[in-house]
Amino acid sequence: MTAEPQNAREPLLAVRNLTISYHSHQFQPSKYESSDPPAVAGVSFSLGPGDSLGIFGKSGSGKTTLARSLLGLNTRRDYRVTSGSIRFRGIEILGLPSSRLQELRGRDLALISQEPELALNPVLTVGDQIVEVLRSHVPGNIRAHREQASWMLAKVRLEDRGIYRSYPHQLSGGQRQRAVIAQALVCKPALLIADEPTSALDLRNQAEIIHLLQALREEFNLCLILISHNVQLLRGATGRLACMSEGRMTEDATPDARRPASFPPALGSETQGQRPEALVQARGLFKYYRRGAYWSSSRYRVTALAGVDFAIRRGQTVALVGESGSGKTTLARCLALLEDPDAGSIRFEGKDVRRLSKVKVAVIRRQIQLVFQHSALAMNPHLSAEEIVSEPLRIQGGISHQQRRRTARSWMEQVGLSPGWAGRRPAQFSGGQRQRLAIARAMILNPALVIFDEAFAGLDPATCAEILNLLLELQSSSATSYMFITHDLQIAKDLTKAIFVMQDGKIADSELLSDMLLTSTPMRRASCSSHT
Amino acid sequence: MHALLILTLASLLAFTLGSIAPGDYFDDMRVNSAISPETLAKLRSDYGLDRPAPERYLHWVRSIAWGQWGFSFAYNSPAGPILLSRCRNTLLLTCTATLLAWLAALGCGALSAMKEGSLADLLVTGVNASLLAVPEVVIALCGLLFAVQTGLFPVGGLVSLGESNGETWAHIRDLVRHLALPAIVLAAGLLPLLLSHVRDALSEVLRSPFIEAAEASGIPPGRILFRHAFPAAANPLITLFGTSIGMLISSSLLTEAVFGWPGLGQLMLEAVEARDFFLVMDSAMLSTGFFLVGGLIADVLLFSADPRIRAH
Repeated sequence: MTAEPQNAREPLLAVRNLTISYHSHQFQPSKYESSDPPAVAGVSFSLGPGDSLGIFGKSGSGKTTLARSLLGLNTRRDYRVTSGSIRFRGIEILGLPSSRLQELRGRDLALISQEPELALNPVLTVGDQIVEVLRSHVPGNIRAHREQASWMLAKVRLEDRGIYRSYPHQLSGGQRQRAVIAQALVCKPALLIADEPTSALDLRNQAEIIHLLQALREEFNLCLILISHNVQLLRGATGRLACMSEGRMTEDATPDARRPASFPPALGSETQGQRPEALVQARGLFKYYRRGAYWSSSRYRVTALAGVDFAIRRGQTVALVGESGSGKTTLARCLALLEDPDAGSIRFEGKDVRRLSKVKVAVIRRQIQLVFQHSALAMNPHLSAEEIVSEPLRIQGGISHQQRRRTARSWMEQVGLSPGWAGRRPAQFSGGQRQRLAIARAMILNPALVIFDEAFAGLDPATCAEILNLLLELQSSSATSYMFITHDLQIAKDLTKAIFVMQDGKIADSELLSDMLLTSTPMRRASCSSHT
Repeated sequence: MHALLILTLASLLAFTLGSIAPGDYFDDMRVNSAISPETLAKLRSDYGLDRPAPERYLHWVRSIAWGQWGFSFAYNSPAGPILLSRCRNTLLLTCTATLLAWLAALGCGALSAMKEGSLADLLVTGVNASLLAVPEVVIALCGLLFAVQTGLFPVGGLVSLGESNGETWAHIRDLVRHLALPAIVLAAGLLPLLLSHVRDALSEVLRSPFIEAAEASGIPPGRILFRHAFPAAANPLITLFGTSIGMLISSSLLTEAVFGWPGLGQLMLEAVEARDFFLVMDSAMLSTGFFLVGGLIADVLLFSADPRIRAH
């Protein structure tokens, strides 16, 4: 770091008038481009060692783009820095040769990215991926690196030695996010940028991770930039707050002024006198997964579902809550007929689906739609937004191309995406926008049951409320059933009275629920009251 | 188990088709007035050609089990030993060529995927496209022309006459000189397919978020390529590798013919022309066998390379 003399009074990080614009080379008529505002417009702020800044804002407001640019990562995708400067310890990051950037990244500047599913290499073990970062920056032998990696995993509460040797697909969403955090912190960087680090975690883990980040910040004099749409979470965790909106940043905005619009009243209120028949009914579901190499002595069996009884009626809304790894997603996959349970029965409108022919199951499957936790994984990166949304119609057949386009565009509009973006690819949308695309795609067939598997985890409260209102409207006209899977009890309470709690692969009794409601810690309440 | 079934079915199919095809090895002799019809009938019964087809099939299968692989009429000896030496020559050529092609494909593919859109990428994809467009026989003839014009390489064959007098080192050098041109030509024919697959697989992985995350952690580019990107891009390439093993026996037919390489391809052509029934059958079986082995190797490699496949 001798390229420029380091001024003692220079802040650790100084961003001046940073502007980043969206450049498209392809597929887009230019009239849409000219109307696009820059992703980041004239942002300035500075941070000293040990400072912390929380950035919040709607999805698509430029938070992630800003975070990436701080590491000099914006040369890819379709964003370019058009003006401004980013100085870290007096060194200009913009225009720094890639070898120098590479030294800084991971050692001094670290980024925790939004979607842990995608940030971990599927063919390397979690431990090896942490060791990779260490060996790129810290001299030492492999044994020392391994010990350091294990220590770091323990710091993020993944003490189990088996986790070190696990592959990403063997971990739950929450465990993966913690592994990503361990990877970012293992070299003890001076500046940590955490982009929605807790959105995949359940409430207890969210609080723990925030506490851990705070503890590490104090211990290593770490400068922390925390990005979230959850203002409450940020307010507890960071010293300063800034709001991003359409690329502009307003620092120290009073968060109270930006409280989310209130949630709609509980969906599917049971005011109708008669009780409709069960749409989907599950009895005694068991599901096991096997872990470890086929020949290995350490091979063991994981029970994901241990005798689940569950039913949902037509037009009903239920919520399924539980900690990460409790079997929520497995249950959802079984109910959506994507996974065969090892024992038990599933009935759709009274018919036992395990006894039906494949053709009939395919017809039922059309009636049950699943919106995934990580929408980017569930989209073909080569298709345009419009093609993605209209694909279910195409598969179903019998609808003209024009009709499909019109329906897709109207759905995009309904979930709050400009129809002018119909030609964009998934990578050109932000995480929250992609989630809205996924919801539009699930709703386009008018299904009987939609399962939202943490589908709202990446959305800011305002958008979330909008979409929930829309879902409510649809439900009143078409009697669609909704199942919301979430680790946020408060959302579940806002949505419905029918809340199921999952624990260790079972639907726990309702006592546990009242327990959870009564004993929620202040931290927990804080994270509940905003939407994460 | 599957493999045995496929082999049996393939052999039955080949045998049936071969039997239905009109004529046999001795038909040409009918034109020759010096050979009487009685002699021909005697020859046919000596070689068992007058027996019903199922009996001949079983006899052939039994002889494969004995290592004789049927009987070649043209060479007047068991087909096994002839096949063995020819097979060795072909494998020497195709293995070298496949190895060369894979090395070039991995190297150039990685280069062009890492520097997508650069001059190097343009050059690699351009050369690749032209190799794909030019028929293999033209490449082979160009190679031959080159050999004739410069005299740097022998024009054909496996060894030079009179040079292999005992000294091992000289023998190997001679072999390599003979091998070089056909191997390069064959590799040039294989390269386009491999290269485009390597480039596509790798460039897709290099664009994925976990590679970006690795970059954001400051891992050096070389390390990212070899430790992170290649293993993640390996799946389609391993499948392709299995296929290229399967093609070892059958891909060199044309090159062998042009360069006079005494391999299986030439033998097969001769055998088909002369209706040397069992040699044709055996070549077909070898080809099938190699495809099965290639598939098996690919499966084993996939199993060891991808933890997600192990989980199923």
